[in-house]
Amino acid sequence: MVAAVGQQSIGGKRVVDGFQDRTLPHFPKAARQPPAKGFVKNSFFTGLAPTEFIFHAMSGREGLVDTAVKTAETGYMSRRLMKSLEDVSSNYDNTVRNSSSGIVRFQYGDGKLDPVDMEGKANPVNFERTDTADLRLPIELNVANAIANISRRASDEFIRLCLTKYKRSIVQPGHAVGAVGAQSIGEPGTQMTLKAFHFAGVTGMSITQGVPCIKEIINAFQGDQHTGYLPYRKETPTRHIAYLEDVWYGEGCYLNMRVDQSTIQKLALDVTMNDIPRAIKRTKGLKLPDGSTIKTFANHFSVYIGDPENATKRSRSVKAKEEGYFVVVQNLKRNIPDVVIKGYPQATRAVIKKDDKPNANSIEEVALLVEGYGLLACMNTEGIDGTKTRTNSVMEMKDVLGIEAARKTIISEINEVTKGMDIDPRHMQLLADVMTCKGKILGITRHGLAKMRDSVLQLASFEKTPDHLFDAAFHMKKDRIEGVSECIIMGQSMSIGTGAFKVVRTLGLEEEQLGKRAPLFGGCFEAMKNVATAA
Amino acid sequence: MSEEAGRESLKLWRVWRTTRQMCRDRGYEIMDNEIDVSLDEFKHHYCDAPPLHCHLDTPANKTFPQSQTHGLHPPPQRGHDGEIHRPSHTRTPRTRPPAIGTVFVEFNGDETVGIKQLRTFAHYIDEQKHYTGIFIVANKVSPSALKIIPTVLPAILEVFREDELLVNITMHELVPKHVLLSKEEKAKLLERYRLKESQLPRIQTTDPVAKYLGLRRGQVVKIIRKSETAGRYASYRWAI
Repeated sequence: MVAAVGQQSIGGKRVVDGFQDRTLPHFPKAARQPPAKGFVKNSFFTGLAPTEFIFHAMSGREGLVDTAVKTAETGYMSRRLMKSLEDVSSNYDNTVRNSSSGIVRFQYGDGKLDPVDMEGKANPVNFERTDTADLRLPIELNVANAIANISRRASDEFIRLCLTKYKRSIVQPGHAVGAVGAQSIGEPGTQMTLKAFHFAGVTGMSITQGVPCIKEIINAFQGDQHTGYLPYRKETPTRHIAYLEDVWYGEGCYLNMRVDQSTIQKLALDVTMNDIPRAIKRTKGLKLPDGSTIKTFANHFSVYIGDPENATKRSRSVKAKEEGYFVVVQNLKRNIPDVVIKGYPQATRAVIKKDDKPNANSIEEVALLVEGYGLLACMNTEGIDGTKTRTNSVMEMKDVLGIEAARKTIISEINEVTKGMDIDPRHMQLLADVMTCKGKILGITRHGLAKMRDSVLQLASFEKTPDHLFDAAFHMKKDRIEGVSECIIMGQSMSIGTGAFKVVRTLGLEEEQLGKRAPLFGGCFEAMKNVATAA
Repeated sequence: MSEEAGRESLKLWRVWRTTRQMCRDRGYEIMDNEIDVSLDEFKHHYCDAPPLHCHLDTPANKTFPQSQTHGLHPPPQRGHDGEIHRPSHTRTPRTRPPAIGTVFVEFNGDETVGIKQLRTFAHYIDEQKHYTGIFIVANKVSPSALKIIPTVLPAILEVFREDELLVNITMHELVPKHVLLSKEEKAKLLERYRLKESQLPRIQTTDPVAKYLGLRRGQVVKIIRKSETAGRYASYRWAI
């Protein structure tokens, strides 16, 4: 900034055109020079030109908006996470259950360990650090002795300590693992930037990142996501019409086109001249008038367009008739180059990525990255290893590979986004389990929450309070007051933490103390009646 | 054209292999050498003409000749049958009566499969008293035809599309091993955790892996997940 302030960016792009075809009226239309698109060549010392000042303020504003929006967004995310996970706790039989005793996991984490007691990277003992104290491989005493030169006693003590740490870190019954998990994911979220997209490396795939990505996963979002597949080969949509003109003659008109064979060859596409007419006929939006024919010769092909005036079927070509022959031809001329000849309809882009380094088998792995949808189609493609294909769309994963694969995808995707934030993987696993334990993917939203448990008070305390209460009254719903929210509302103690255990004891009652007892003032009414009649 | 036929036979070979693996994973006795058939062998067996000229696009040719294992005569238009007896799922010796009956697999190459084809298939399954009928279609099944599946009881139909079977999804690196529990094992599990079955985590019967294993409502699968830190551990899901 001493020399030049530099390029201003808004939403990861250069300044967009706010006026017609230009950023500001100070520039000629369609100007694409650096100063017209937000490059500030002045420094703060020399002072900014008026246009530069505006651009700088624009990108400065973005930062402010970002901070303001981020707080609200992550706050809401934390609240939702907390509501969905608040009643998940570990039990005396090691299972992790919600308050209606539905099992979420059969044991917490991979080995029943509590993340609170972890040292270093999610392990009960941080061996990497003890390594520096020359205590490597203490289990095999001979090796330890040879390398570290430690005594038997020291080694025994070390092992004892490790075991103590391990035992101490086993998760305790009643521990509110859900609440801890929700907080452990929600809190780092507030520290993340709100950068929505990032263009990853050479592949140039735009990938949702940061808070928006977590939001997509947690909401069980179904929309544009980006797909990556392994490994290699597929057709991509490309244009290869080299030349196109409409030729008119006495009786009608045809569109003449030349296919650019060199492009096809360069891209090694599997397209023959026969494919093209087939694709044109198959395309639905094109509406070829009746009596149209397609002829091919060498690299050329011509679409003879039938005159809609002569059409026999009325229903189809009424609109075309009104428009007239010329308009129909012009429409076709514009649309034919966009006909998709081959490829997967849901994929928009494909990039081949080759690893720089050879893997363990000294093969340089080749991966194919596809943007868009269509996991099944990509998996089935010849030359692709179908057992390694994956996508970051959780919903598609569930539809193609099942709920367990979707669960793993949730974990790995959240892991990917929060990498570097040092969140214990057990929290992610628990969240994924809560989202998938009903067999389908439940979002951490009010819709998903309604399906997880069946408590009116919990839902009413979350969102749309009157709706839930009216509905519950109308259907005479019952609430067993099991969960955390309900217990707080009713002023009872909840079933997590110290409330996890219940004492069952003998009351020491005799046989005659049981059975029906007369009410305390049972005889009063009769007695009063007698008094009244006597008087 | 021969290239297209070659591609078609490759596709069918993959589907056919997955189907056999699927039957094996459900507990039917299929030898490994019956599954690991090379593409050439497959072509030799199932394409009528020499490999280069095999036309697999017409329905009549697309159906497979009957399987070598048993001589159950398939009616015309009907293909490969796997008439194999199934041992029970338990690890106990095979002296017990099998928990599940026979399975019948049919490949169908029709452009669209409607109510008619499914009904004849259901009728056949019912007649032959098969436990399950697996119907593999090359293209789409009409939505109205799918609706009749629950109505043709007691015959139970499982409809698969060919593209669902091109890759065996249970071999995918993200899909852990799913094992069906027997009735006794299920009871033992519920007893151990003092559960009602409705308290177990669930899996939908429409889930791809559940479809692969032919899960029915109420059955429980054990899922063996691999863990980075703790080796392997089991989870269970209840099919609904």
